[in-house]
Amino acid sequence: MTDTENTETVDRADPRTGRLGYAAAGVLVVIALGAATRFLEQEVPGWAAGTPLAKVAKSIEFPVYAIALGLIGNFVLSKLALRDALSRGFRTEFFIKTGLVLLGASINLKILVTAAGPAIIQALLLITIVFGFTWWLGGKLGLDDKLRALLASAVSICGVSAAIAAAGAVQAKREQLAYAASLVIIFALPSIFLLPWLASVFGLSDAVAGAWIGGNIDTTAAVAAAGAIAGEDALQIATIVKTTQNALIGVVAIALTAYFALKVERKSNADARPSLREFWDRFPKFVLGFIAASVIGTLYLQWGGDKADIATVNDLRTWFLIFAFVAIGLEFSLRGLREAGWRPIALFASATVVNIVVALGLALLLFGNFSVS
Amino acid sequence: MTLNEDWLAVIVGLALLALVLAGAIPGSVIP
Repeated sequence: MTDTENTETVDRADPRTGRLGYAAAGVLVVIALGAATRFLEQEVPGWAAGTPLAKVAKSIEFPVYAIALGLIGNFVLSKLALRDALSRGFRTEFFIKTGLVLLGASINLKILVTAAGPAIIQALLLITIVFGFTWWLGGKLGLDDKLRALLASAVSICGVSAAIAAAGAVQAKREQLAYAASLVIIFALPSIFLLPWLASVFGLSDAVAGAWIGGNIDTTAAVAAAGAIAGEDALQIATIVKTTQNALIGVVAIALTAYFALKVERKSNADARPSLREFWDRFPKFVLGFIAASVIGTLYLQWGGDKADIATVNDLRTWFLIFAFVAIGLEFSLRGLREAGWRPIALFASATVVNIVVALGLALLLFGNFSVS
Repeated sequence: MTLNEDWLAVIVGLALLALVLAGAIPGSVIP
């Protein structure tokens, strides 16, 4: 799951951060940069028309402007010593989840149901293989068990959200979580642009490209950004695949809790047994909203509703995604990386390569014959 | 905090969807 989301809960230290006025100002910064993103997306192609840059300007999608403006805002606010104070308003997690709920309305229930089977198989295989590899290599590199669990969860499931869930399960240190969160974002940013480009170079179909993007990129917000660059159909499949992985975080977190209780803390079987309540607590609830929106959107159109209304919902969705991408840029921080050394970086990089290759193989195998329309 | 944010996203998302489908938010007001 996502995401940069909670880097602010990880390394927030500025005493002004807790004040409501600063949080509201943070939200206003996100909205202002979001409006600037929309403006640039609409105006730049016109400005570049007739110049050698016309083709490039036309092909730049809104996630590029949003993340770039977020990073510029991050730099400026850091120089003004305001970034940490405003960080509570950079709600990547809220913006991306609201955007994904709205995205559900444009996904026909039939596509959701048809894609759910291969998405679940892909998620189960990918999580098992990538988590297993990262855990194994982390052991070979001599990393602490808790950091191994965090990094393996982050790279195999859904980025920072998974790391946060795993950190709760294994009671990791704050700095380990900050470190895992930083690694996730550093690796996610280039993949937002690299994967759609590679998908086009390889000539992948929309469904395969979407399944690859959704299976490989760690954070949900980055998956949505890459999917939006790859196209609407790819975005739909990428979101279904990523949402499926999100839904499985509860299972992994509970398995980790049980493993650490039994093997590391050596508790009895009865004390380590997970409850249904724990599973529900860790289940990402936005998945329910996403499915509900798909049901509502499908029934609305089936009962003669106007397609233009769904297009309006899509416009709203784009706004929330823009806010999420701006917030990714604003939250980006290298702070967590300074003291951890090269081994976790080598582990994360190796796991990312394995993730890219295995996710591509599974996407080709499971979505090769899948048709989005 | 995470749990609240999760539910908040569901509530805001579905509320906006309902408002658009009910005609309370016309497409023309979204820039």
